[in-house]
Parts: sequence; structure tokens; C-alpha cells
Amino acid sequence: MSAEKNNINEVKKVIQDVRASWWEDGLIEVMSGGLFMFMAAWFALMEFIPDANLKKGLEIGFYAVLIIFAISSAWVKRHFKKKYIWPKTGYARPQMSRKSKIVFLLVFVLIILNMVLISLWQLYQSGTSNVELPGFFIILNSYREGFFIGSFVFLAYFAVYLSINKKRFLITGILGLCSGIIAASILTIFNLDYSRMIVATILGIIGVYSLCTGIPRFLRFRRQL
Amino acid sequence: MSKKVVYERIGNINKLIHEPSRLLIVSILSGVKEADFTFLLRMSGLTRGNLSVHLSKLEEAGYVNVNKRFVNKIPNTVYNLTKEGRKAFANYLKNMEEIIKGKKKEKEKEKGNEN
Repeated sequence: MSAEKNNINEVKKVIQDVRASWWEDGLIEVMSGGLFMFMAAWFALMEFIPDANLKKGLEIGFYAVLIIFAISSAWVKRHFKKKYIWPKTGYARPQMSRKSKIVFLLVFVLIILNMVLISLWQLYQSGTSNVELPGFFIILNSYREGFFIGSFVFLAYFAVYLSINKKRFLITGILGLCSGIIAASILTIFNLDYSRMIVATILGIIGVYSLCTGIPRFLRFRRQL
Repeated sequence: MSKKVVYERIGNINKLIHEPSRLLIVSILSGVKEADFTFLLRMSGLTRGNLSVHLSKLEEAGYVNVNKRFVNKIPNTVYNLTKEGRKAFANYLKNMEEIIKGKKKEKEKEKGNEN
């Protein structure tokens, strides 16, 4: 019986190693670290701009930038790998596990939900519509950005972890979630409705951690090629 | 699951996939949408000749699809598991898991009888 069991376990290990090979160069960690740092800078900029309309424009622009990044990053990764990595390692198109795909879908659902909640909140605050919000929503608004950003980050990295079983992705995800919860708590304790600087700090921490894990991995990988 | 059923399942194992090198190749291809020869060579650790022979056998059985193309004027062969290949691999894994379960139950039954 143990021979068959070893067989199956080895097959599962091979599949995981194959999926992990897409991430072994550290390129995606470097790119996501760069994205988080860019988002941190964007939020910090929003905090210091005095013009309210420009601030609102930048907030909407933030989501547009995220969508553009999501679409273009796949092309950038592919182009870079095609030129520098695949000639040495061979080419493979990755396949995510079903569990990972479901978790990624959940991330998109949460992003859309967050955008709807932001819109409702802004309508409510403007006082120009008859939008009525339940009491808990008003209390939760302080938690919203911190919790949602933390959740996005956790779920995205968790989806990768489910596919390839590498602990560093789970650690980054947990770091993101903890940062989000801590930020949300700070917002509530100091009675700040929404502090962009706190969100910028969360994103900055995750960005720095991603870059610190991604860059050495990328350099090590390049040396090995 | 009786011993007879377990032995029947063992007899029904897909021998084409069960061969260790081919099992390795199919496992690698199941983790990707497609991959080229260099990637398969690197991940499997097989020799070029060995890999080539096993891929041909899998292609003959309709489990693997071969796509020859040019990338920057250099020939590049890309392989992917067909629908039949993925189904056969899934059935193989399911069969193996059933055998393990059946053998485990048999072992527990024998232990119980001894006591």
C-alpha cells in the first residue's frame, strides 16, 4: 500500500513544483512590491492635495490604475520572461488550481463590493440623496478601507499559496491582513473617518516586504541561469 | 472493498500512464496549460531521447498534443495534455486512491480478525 501512496504523494508534489516554477524567479513579487509602493505613494499624494475635486478624481483614478495594471501586468510578465527567462528555463504556461481560481474570483467580488460601499458612503455624506445607511455601516466605514485592503492582499497571496504551497506567500498575505486590521483599529481608536496616510503606510509595508523577498530571489535566479 | 475488487482495480490501472517516466511527464503537463521540450527536460530530469520516446507514445495514445512552431526564427515544440489525457490522468489518480483505500480497509480487517 505504501508504494501506491508514495506514488500519489510524489505526483502531487510534482504538480505543485511545476506550478511553483512560474513564481521561482521572484519577478511577480518584485512587480507586486512595485505596485504596492506606487499605490502607497498615490494615497500619500491624495492626502496632501488641498483641492477636493482633484482628490476625488485621484480616488477614482486609483481604481482605474488597478484595472490597467491587472490587464497590462500579464503582458509585461510574459514579455520579460520570453526575452530573459524562457530561453534558459524553457517555456510553460501556468495553470492555477481550481481552489486558487475561486479565491481570486472572491478578490474581484470584494473589490467591486468595496467600490459599491464607497459610492454609497459618498452619496450618504453628500446629503444630496435619500440614501439611508444602517448604523453598523457607519461604524464599519472606519474599518472599511483597512479591512478591505488587508483582505484583498491576504486573499490574493492565499490563492497563490493554495496553488503552490510556498509559505512566503502565506506570510505576505497574513502581513497584509494584519496591517489592514491594525490600520482599521487605529482609525477607530483615534476617531479618524478615513486616513489615507494609514492606508499608504499599510501598502508601503507590504510593498517593502514584497520587494525585500522578490529582489534577492530574482537576482539569485538570474545568477543560476 | 473486497480483495477481489482491489485486485480488479490493480488490473485496470492505465499502464500507459503508470510507467514511471510517463507518469512524471503527464504529472508535469497536468500542472501547466502547455510547455515546451526544454521545460519538460528540465523538470523531468530525463534524457532527450528518453523524453522524446515517451512523448511520442503519449501522443500516439491521444493524451498529448504536439504543436511545432517558430519563436524568433528558432523551432520550438510545445506540448499540452489533451482532454482525453487529462481525463485519463484524473481516472488514474482516482483509481490509485481507491486501491489505497481498499488495501487500507483490507489491512484493518485482517488486523481485526487476528485480534
